[in-house]
Amino acid sequence: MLYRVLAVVVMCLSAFAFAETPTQKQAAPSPQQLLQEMAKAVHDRDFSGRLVYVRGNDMSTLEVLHARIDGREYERLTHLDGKLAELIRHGEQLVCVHPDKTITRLGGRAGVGPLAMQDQLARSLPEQYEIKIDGQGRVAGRNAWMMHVLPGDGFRYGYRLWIDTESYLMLRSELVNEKGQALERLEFISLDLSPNLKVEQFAVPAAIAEQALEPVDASVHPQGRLKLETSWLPDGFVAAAGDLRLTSGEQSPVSSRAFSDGLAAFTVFVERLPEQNVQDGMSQMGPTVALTKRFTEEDGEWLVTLVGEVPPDTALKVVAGLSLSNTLRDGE
Amino acid sequence: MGDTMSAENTNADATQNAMTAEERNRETLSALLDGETSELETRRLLRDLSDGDAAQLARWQLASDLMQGHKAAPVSESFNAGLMAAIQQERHARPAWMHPVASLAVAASVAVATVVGWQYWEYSSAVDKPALVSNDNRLPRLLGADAEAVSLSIRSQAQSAALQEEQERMDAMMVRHSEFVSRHSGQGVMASARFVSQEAKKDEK
Repeated sequence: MLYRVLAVVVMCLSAFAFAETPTQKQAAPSPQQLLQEMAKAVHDRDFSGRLVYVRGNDMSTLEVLHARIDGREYERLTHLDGKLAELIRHGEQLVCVHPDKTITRLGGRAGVGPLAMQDQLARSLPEQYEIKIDGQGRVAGRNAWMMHVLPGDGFRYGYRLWIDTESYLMLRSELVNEKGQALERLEFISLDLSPNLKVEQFAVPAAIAEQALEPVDASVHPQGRLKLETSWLPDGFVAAAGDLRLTSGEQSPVSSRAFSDGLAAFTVFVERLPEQNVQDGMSQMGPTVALTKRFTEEDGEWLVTLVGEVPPDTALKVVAGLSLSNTLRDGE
Repeated sequence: MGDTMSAENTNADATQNAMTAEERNRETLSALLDGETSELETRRLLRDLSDGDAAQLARWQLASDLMQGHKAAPVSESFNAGLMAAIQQERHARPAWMHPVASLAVAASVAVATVVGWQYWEYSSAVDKPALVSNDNRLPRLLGADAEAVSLSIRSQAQSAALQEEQERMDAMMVRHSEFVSRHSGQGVMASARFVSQEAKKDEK
């Protein structure tokens, strides 16, 4: 009898030990640690892979190449099916290759610390979110920590993230609404962590036309004195970065100010009202909302556009609370 | 096609003439709410929805949401007004099946998920500020469980030239926004993938 009991106990213990082995190998890191590592890995790691991006019934397949070569970050994201579109990054320079074979260059932002928000994320999790690790899963044949990021209010979306246990790269990401429905999903289907990439693989293709979004010195341009004020922002959102840019061939620059709570972000753009009649309105594509509103000031008409991954009601509320003031006029 | 529909209606009326108009109406609304109507019926119901019916639907939807423990879908009143305006517009337009891409009701009934490209919804230009959404002002997702993120296109194809220019404006902003998100918000590749995918798909419509 005793032997039988012992045998059962031993069997249970060994089964227990066996079941525990894979997870014991890696104790779950804290959500904070995991987010920090994730934010770092995507910039520091070399990798190549195929991704699937899904929004409703619409699916895209993409290829990503990422490397640090001589201290410089290179990235190339290529749309594989349908029309060719690409994003190519060389350090602070970003190039968009459009399906019509034109390209847009975006130079580095002057006066904006590129790591500011990442640092903020690393120091503390946005308190508007509850973040928990929910065991492990498998994506692209790799083990991943599953992480739930739940928003504390209805002003922002939540996320479900799968983070590689080895490289801390985000293997799968879903942006979810308040009902837990995924509005979009990005998922690696293959990942190579030793891709041995060369600079030539990040070469920008020949284009039929090129335009650049160049930074303009805000202190010398009249629009630089235009101040955007917000009377309402969702809790935790702060103004993060702003700049003034001129598109080559255009007359008047467009200023932007980005707002973020550390995870969600939207950008508010201000420009002179274009000649063609632009209506107040709202557009939506997947989780991205764009809201346009005209402002009539003493010095003319302005067009304000909010673009971001926030619920439409949040965008409406932010834009309704916006005001413009001309600091030059105020100073006189 | 229009004749066939009226014939269907006549048959339906004949079989249900024992019911009062009000009962019939309630039953139809209930079917709409439960997602039991066909695409064609949904389109017709939305087209013919009266203000009273919409309000009734709103109350039921809210009740149904609460009973199922869902948070009521916070669809703004102005959003709903936009939907109603679009439906009104479609009423005067060619039959929807003649230009399937532009079919509002169909687009609406399958939710934002399947919509490719920027969908434009104009709030009334007579109103200076967009109507604000207060918590007391929640109105239903008119189209059933999966349609809360409905995207509306009330622009006709004749306006596509203006839309093209707007698209270019929008693209420049998307580049700048995506760049910010990919570098600052910890989402990294997600923002870039979103942008590249939108770029590749935008002309497909």
